[in-house]
Amino acid sequence: MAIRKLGALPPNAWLLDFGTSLRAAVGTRVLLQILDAPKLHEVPCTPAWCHSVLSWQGRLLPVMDMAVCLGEAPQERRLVAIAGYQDRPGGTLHFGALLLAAPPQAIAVGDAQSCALPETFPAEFAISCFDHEGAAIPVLHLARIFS
Amino acid sequence: MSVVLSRPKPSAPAILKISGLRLSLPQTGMRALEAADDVDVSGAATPAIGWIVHGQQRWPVYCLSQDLALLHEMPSERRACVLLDAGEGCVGVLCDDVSMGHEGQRHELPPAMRLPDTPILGLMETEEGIVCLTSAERLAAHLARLAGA
Repeated sequence: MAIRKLGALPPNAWLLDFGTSLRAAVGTRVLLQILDAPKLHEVPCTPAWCHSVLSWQGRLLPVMDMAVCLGEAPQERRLVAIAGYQDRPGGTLHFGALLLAAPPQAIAVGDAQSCALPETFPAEFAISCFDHEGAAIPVLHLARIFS
Repeated sequence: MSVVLSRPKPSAPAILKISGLRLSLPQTGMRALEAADDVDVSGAATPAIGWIVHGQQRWPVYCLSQDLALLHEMPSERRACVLLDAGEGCVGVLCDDVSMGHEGQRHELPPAMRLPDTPILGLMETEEGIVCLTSAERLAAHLARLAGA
């Protein structure tokens, strides 16, 4: 059986940049669309990390600022990623939006890259974690983040 | 000037415009619509911005920002005062204007955006943009919390 090097594998994850060196990842099938500076609608009396909605295909999606969620300064609103996720395998498809500081980067991740989650990252927000170029990158648990 | 809102259609909501915010609430929870000029700002009991007389009683009037925080000075664009049913009494809220009968597609407030005691019950998308759904009861309770803070 031929053994392929990781670099030869097709990308299977999106590396997301939330600014201030905060990065995380989702599977390639999770991200549906990237919007550049879309119109967001503020909603009062909502959490600082999720205080606006985006009108998208007949839905109003919550817009999550993971930087604020993780205790950092708000991101400068520029890019918004539309994500689709299920709360359980085979469950209903839900949608949410993530603020990004930079365009997502497609990367290939293999099982051998698995590593421990950084102590600073809330365990409930991560499905797993992997090493990417020396940095621990959490894989986001979107169903919990958007619940 | 006072407009008493008698026998409103329960199905027709009122839209309160507060700066960039549009709030929709059932007319059944509204007692009167007054001009902001009729608000007596002398001797206001902080954090209320003044008083308004209705039904031979005076009721506190609050001025809110578009994020529903208390303002201590009245912006010039606040031209109307809506008197809300607050259970055992009334409470006034200043707004830029009040319109009736907007309808649109209603949405639940996404779970990630829900805070305990939020006055926002849902969202509605209209041709003019997003409208936040509330009720007189929820808004009065929000004002009571702000006033007691």
